This record gives sequence, C-alpha cells and structure tokens, in this order.
Amino acid sequence: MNEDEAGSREAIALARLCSGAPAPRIGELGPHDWAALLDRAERERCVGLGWLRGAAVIRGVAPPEVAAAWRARALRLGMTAREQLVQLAALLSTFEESGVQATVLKGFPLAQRLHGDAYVRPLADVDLYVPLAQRQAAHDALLVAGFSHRSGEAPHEGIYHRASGPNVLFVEVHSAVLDEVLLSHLQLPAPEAKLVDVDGVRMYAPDGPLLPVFLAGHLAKHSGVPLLWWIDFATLWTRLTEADRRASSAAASAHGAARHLAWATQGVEHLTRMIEGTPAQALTAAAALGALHERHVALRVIALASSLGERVESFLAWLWPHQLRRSPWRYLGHLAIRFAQLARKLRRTPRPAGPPLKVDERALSVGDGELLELARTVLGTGAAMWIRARGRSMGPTIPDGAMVLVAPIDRPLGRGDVVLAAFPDGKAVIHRVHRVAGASVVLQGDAMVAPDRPVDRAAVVGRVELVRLYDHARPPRQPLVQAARMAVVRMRRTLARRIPSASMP
Amino acid sequence: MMAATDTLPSVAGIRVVHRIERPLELVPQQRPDWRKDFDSAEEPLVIHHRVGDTAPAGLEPMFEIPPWSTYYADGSGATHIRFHSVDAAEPVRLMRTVRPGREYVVEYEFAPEKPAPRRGSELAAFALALAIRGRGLMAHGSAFTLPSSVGVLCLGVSGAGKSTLAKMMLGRDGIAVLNDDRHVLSAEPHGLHVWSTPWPGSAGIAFEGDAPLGAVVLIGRAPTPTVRPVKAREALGRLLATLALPPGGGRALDQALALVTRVIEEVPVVELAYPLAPETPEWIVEQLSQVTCERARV
Repeated sequence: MNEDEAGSREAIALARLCSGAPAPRIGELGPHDWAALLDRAERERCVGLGWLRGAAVIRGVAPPEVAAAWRARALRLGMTAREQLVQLAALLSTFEESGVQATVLKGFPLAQRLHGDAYVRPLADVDLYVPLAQRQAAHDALLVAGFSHRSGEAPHEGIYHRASGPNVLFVEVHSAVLDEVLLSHLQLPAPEAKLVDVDGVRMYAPDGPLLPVFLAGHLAKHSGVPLLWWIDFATLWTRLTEADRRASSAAASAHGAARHLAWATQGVEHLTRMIEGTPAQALTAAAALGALHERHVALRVIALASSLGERVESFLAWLWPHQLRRSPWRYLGHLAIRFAQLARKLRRTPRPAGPPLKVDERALSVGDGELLELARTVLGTGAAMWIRARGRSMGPTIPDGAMVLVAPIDRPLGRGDVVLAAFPDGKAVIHRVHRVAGASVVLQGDAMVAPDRPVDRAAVVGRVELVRLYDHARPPRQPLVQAARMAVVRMRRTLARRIPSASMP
Repeated sequence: MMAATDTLPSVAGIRVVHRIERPLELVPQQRPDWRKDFDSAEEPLVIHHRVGDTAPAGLEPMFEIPPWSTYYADGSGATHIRFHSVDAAEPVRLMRTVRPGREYVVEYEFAPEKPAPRRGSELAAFALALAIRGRGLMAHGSAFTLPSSVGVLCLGVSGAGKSTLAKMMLGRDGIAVLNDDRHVLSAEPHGLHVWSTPWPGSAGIAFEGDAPLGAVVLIGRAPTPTVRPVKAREALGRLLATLALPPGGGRALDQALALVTRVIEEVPVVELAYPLAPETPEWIVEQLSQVTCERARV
C-alpha cells in the first residue's frame, strides 16, 4: 500500500466516522492506524464531529489510549468553544449597543445548524460580516470590548484579537463575504441574515439561497481545505430540497459563481461515494476529492471564473494585491520579501538528487525521551523542526495543540526566549526563560504563577521561533495584557497568604 | 433615622454622594473648595455611612492590605472591604456593596467621640466605582502639566517622593500641578487622560484640572540626574503596583488591564532619578518636554 492509498484510507475512515457509520464500515485499523487517524482528525478539524458521531465506534474498536485521547481532545475543544462563545456573546452585545449588525459567517450557528451541536467545529477565528457603513462603529465597539486591532482596515478584512484567560479569540471582520482578492470579481452580496439562538446567545447567521454559494466560494479560495469543510458543505447541500438547490444555482449564476457551485457539488458527490461506496469506489472518490484541491489556488480560482475578463481580473488581483495598490514602494517591498523568502528556502533545502522527496506531513507521535533525542539530532544539523505542543502552561501564547517551530540556539539565551528543554525527570517542556543565572536557566510557563526549578543550560535543546495555530503563525511573544494578568495573580496570591487562616469565617 | 447628605461634585465625571446617619459625624479630608462640576450622564456614586454590624459573616476573604484593610467577596463576586482599626479610638468599618460600582454602605463598629475620617472608605468606594464601571483607574501618584499642556503622571509607592516632586514643580512658569497623591487615569475618545482628584497627599495639593496624558514617570533618587526609558515588562510591574485594580476578575479586570497595557504601549514611560537640587525642576521639565515631543513626532 503506498502513501497516497494509506492517506485515502484514513480520509475514508474519518469521513465515515463523522457520518456515524457503524464499526464494520470504518475499515480494518490497527493500533498505530487509530493513533494516526486521531492526528489526521486533528488536522482535518474533525476531532469534535468524529467524537459526536463516532464515539461509540471509537470506544468499541480503537485502542483504549486512543479513545481516551480522542475524548479528551473533543472535550477540550468543546470547552474552548464554550469560552469563545462567551467572549463572542459579550462582543455581540457591545455591537448591539453600538448599532452594529454583525452576521456570524460559519462558526457556531453553522455547526449548530448542520451538526446539531454548536461546539463541534474548532474555531481558529470568528468571521463576522459587517456592512461597510458600520465598519467604523464595529471597530470602536471591538476596542471597547477589549479587543486589540492586529491588522487590516475597511473595506478589507480587519483582524482583531482578545485574550481571556488562556484563550485568545481572533475575530475577522469582513465587509465582503468572500474576502479574497482572487474572488473580488464575484461581488457576492451578503446572504440573508437570520436571527438564531445559539445556547441562549442570539446572533445573526447567513441563510437563504446564497449560503451554499458562499460556502462553495469559501471552499474554492483556500489551498488546504480540511475535510470538515467538505463535510459541512455536503451536509448542507444534501439536506436542501430540490427547489432550494435550484434557487441556489440560480443565485450562483446571477453572481458569476455558477462554476464555483458546480465544482463544490462535485466534491459532495466524491464525499458521498467515499462514505457509501464499495472500497474501490471509495478510494477513487477520495483521490478525486483530493484532486479538487491539487491545483494552486490561484489557478483553480482563475479557471473557475466565468469569463475571460473575470479571469484576467482575478489574475491581476493575485499578481498585484489591492492592499498594495496605493503604494508601488510597498509592492516592491512585498516582492523583495517574497524573493528573499524563496531564496532562503532554496538555500536551506538543496534539491535532492533522484526523484523529489515526498513530504510526509503525518505527525510523528513519540515519547518525551525520543522527542528530545530527535530534536537534538535535527537541530544539531542546523535545521528547525515543527513540534506539536501539548498542555496549557504556555497559554495563550502557545495554545494546547498548536504547532511550534523549534530552531537551533544561535544567540545567547535571554529572558523572554521560549525554549524546548529537557527537565531532570525526562520531560520535554516548552517554557519561557524567566532568568539566566550562570550555567543554569530558570524557566516558567506563561500561564504559570511560579517559575520552574533551575535546569542546566545544556538541558535547553532549542528555541521556539514560531507558533502556528491553523492559519496563523507568529513569534511566541507573550501578550502584554497576559503578563499583566499573571502579575496581578501573583500579587494577589502574596496578599492572600497574609490572611491568617484563623480569621476565615 | 436622620441622615445628612454631602455631595462631592464630579471627580473625573462621577459625583460622590455621602449619606451619613446620626450619630455618626465624618470629616471630609478633601479640598474644601472642590466644586468642579461636570456635565455627565454618569450615575452618582452613593455611600451610606451608619453604625452597624462589621462582622464579615458569610464573606470569603480574598486578600489583605496590611495594616489597612481586608478584601472579601460574596457569592455573587461583589467586593466588600473591612477597614481595620489602627487605634482603639477608631472604629472597625465594613464597606458592603449594595450595587457594584454604584452604591455602598459603610457600617461602623461604634460612633467615635471625635468626627471620624471618611477618606479611606471614600477612596476605596470611588476606586471600585471607577474600575467596575470601566471609567478608569485610580493612580497613586502626583501629576502636573507641561508648558505644552500635556499631563505627566509621576508614580511611586509611599515615600518615593511624589509630594516632594509636586512641591518642587509648584509655581513654576507654564507648569500646573494637579495633585500630589491621587489621580484618575482614563481612556477618553481622544486618547489617554489624567484627572486630578479632591484628595491631596502630604503636600496638600489638589487642584481641579485634567489633561491628556503625555508621559508616565517613575520616580527614583540619584546623585546625578538621569533619565531612562523603561521597557514594557518593567513598566508593567511598576504600574500595577501603583494602580487600584478591581479586586475581582471578570470584565472589570479585563478592562483595567487593557487600560494599563494601553498606557504602556501609547505613552512613554521613563524613570527619572535626580538629586534634590535647585536646578532639578528645570532639568525635569526639559527632559519631559523632550520625551513627550519625541513621542508626538513618531
């Protein structure tokens, strides 16, 4: 069985698990396959849905440790999503006070509508549609609600974030539902907004014939699409009545998106065959679903455009992003950075002789000892490596389950650096340098009130350069507001200790 | 029961109304001529004072600020503060929350023979009201305005030299000293702002006034004058030690910390260390004018 076929079998098993298929339909999976399937589910954002529909199968068939890990991750996902909903509720009420009507694109209402559980889709961010005329009011309301503005201004997308305890909520505000330069020719109007109740929080969610068109465009504009998004679209599409589908197709044609919708419905057919077909049909369908995303996103979107004019428009938008159109200097800078990145990439990874290497992205699951050994070996060659971080001690800088890029230490360690270190008990720990004292280093998790015990300088294996959670990669800088929160917690602990226990009422 | 009412016109936009039940008599300990009124829609802060029960029954202790007070929380998370008695003539007081940030009742163990000071409970209730309403934060520091009309907030714990600095700056050309002890720090639509309060420190300076915040100064003492920009993380620790943060968690703390980080990100924070010499005030004005100008250029 080659790598592609193994990958397809995983995708089929996952799709079937998420559709509630019984154990015999999932396929023959060994203990290692189940561990790999859980990692695959994480990458495909299907941990929650897989557990919702397939908990009985996982409990019955998967090795107990995988079942326990799956359950724990699904529960954690649900908890995080609940916390995010609380934050979103506060934001929406601030919006309401400011007269801003925001529509929650995808996210909680979509999960509730399609899967019957608002917390089952992991959220990297909350996408809100806000009419252009209300963008300034929305910006002000976001700041009032304690969000910081990261980047982007109206009419383009604006990104905001806010930390609450160990969680960071990213909010993307759009005034175009398909906020993508490549699709700017579509001018898709906002789908009609319907007031829905998500666990007691009232919010507007998209509905009507334009909703499938919006989701199809959304699928088309992304390069790496997780399986969950296809399941979302397929669930929506297959539940529509024939009349609703015709209305959607008409709406898509009216806005130049007929080919996008047709392309996405092909995906629905492939996914359906993956779930319901014979083993051979399912394998072919899985390959066909993968092939829908094989092309570079720009080529795909340009090919889907309905006329030559729109193709040219789309290509130009890709070549010369609108954000940079006002300043040729910024554009040149953008090109220079792109070339520099490319040159660095070429220098670092010389083209191998013989057939090109196929990169296996499957996460390698190893124990702490092996991880440290592997990291020492890889970093010793001067290369960097991605590691999945576990635990909440570095939240929200490094959320549980985020990928971190660990690089060799090429300059003296200093306070504030985030490092991978081997603790005396053999644990691999990623924490921040609290202080460097001669030959020893004191580390501390961002979410921890007290520092760790000092470790030898030699126990520090590498430095964390980037943290990636879904599509966001950033350096591991602790948000100032979190540093403040931790300082307050420490101060109060010190003060609380002064209360003699006898005085407790 | 007869109650006397004493209203303190607007402090940073909030009126403070005291309702004092007999036989209690209280000393204001504020600037008697503080009459700055402010056309504000803010609901006044009402503090009732009466002789009553000071046992913190049913309350959960949160932390203690010795020797002055212990903070408690009730089941709903509201704050209650018990002010300790420093000498036998002074009654223990328990300040209970009636409506968070809006109405408090201070119960006194007994009515003292001499009129009792109301400053402690008034400051605590006002600081709570500011923070809970998200209006701003009470800062322990002196402040003055520079000739460019921007305000400089000088922070320091007790004994750092806040009042000495305020006295040094008093009466200099182009400088208006606001207060030598307590200020309100707030985020207004145009930016960060510093407001004087009617509560002076040991120098007795409390003038009505407010200004856009131009810089935050951490006071140090050195044989030769030095000015040092303070990095964000250090500034954070020093600021947190001198601001009255809301005692609980939740939205009020979120807002308070957002304000603190905004101060650090938007306003220069410098440490000024200087000897007490005749030419020091001039040097301070020169340095701070430069710091705030540089900021404006950026």
